[in-house]
Amino acid sequence: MAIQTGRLSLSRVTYHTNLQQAAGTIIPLGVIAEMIIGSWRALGLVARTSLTDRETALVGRLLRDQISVPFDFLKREYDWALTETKPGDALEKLAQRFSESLFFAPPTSTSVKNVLPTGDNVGAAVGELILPDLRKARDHEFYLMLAEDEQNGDDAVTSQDMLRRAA
Amino acid sequence: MGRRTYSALQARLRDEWFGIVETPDVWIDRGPMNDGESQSIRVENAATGMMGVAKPGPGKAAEEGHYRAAHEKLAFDLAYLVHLPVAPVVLWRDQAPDIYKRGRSISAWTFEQSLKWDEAQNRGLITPVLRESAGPIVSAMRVFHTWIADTDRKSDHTQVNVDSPEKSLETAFIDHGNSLAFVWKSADHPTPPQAPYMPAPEHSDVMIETAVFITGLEDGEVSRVVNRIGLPYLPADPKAHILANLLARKRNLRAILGI
Repeated sequence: MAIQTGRLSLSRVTYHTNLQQAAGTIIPLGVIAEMIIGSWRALGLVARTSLTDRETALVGRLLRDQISVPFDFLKREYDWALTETKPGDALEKLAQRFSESLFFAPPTSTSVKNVLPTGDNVGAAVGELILPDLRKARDHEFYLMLAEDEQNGDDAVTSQDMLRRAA
Repeated sequence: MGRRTYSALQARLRDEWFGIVETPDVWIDRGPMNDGESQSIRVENAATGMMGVAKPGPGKAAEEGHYRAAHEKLAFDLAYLVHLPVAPVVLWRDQAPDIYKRGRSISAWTFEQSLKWDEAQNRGLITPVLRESAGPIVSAMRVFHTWIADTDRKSDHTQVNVDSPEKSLETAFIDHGNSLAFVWKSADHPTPPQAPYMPAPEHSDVMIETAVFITGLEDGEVSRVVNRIGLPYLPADPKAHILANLLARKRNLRAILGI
């Protein structure tokens, strides 16, 4: 066992239905989280399973069908981040790619520290130690986002997370 | 020319911002855009709630030799003369030159909902019919970008209207900070044409039509647009280089492009 330090980053994902006006409706979609600690990387996604009819009607024609199931819609970007970005870069890269109507907010980060097992074949044990922290922070941010957007506070959600060696 | 149809609101904004150099309004910082090396930020008009994108951002405020804001404004103004869809731009003097040595520009959003071309394509949203429909504008823009020496374009500098009609993809072009005096360091600076970079078919007739239209612009009108940009945005030397190259190239666009 050894003390490991790292960083937990969170990014809200929203859809802006009117980029031209501050008062335009912003639809909350989900939250993506990345934790790097020691040589480990964990990535998590939580998102709504559907939009309301009213929200769907606000989305432009080209995206309306795809975005109607936000979790499926965002899972693709989660998979991309897991395979195509370096550990610690996932949310920054997503925020660079999606800065328009589909908006990944610039990530907010906090320092993390944990005592983790070392050596080979410790992935499951490491996962048990760090994934609860990632899920807790990710889900807290998600429910906070929904609560701030009162009309969507009771929508169904789903989530996925993955642990990988970063090095 | 004149291939675009804008919403009435957008058309009014384009006219209004072409008519002025600087915004007289108060704009509020709404946080980073996070999407480019200019470190641009989102801004909100304090009176109207209109949103825009200001550049450069704080990390590039001390730059003195790039003239990003002036380039963005000039690209819009020149595109306005040619009736091409560059997002509207106005200059913003706030904190200039004390912090922002060359001031800032504010770009408006052309569409209520947009995605970068590349992301729309990755999502499979750009059907063959829509890609084909973008051909004329893409062709015209390559001529325009060649004229203003914006010769390092990328397809994700093109915005796609998410609410485009079924058979007509609406596009707008952004990010012209690395054009004009960023490239031209003298009054007669040889500059190659912008190579094809958009995954849409080119129409040689549209390219020729656009080049002829630009050639036909009155020198006085181009000069007026350039000369009204002053300090802190654009010093005299780069302004002279911009004007000399614009006037020379507009006469030779077809030869430069080989069309």
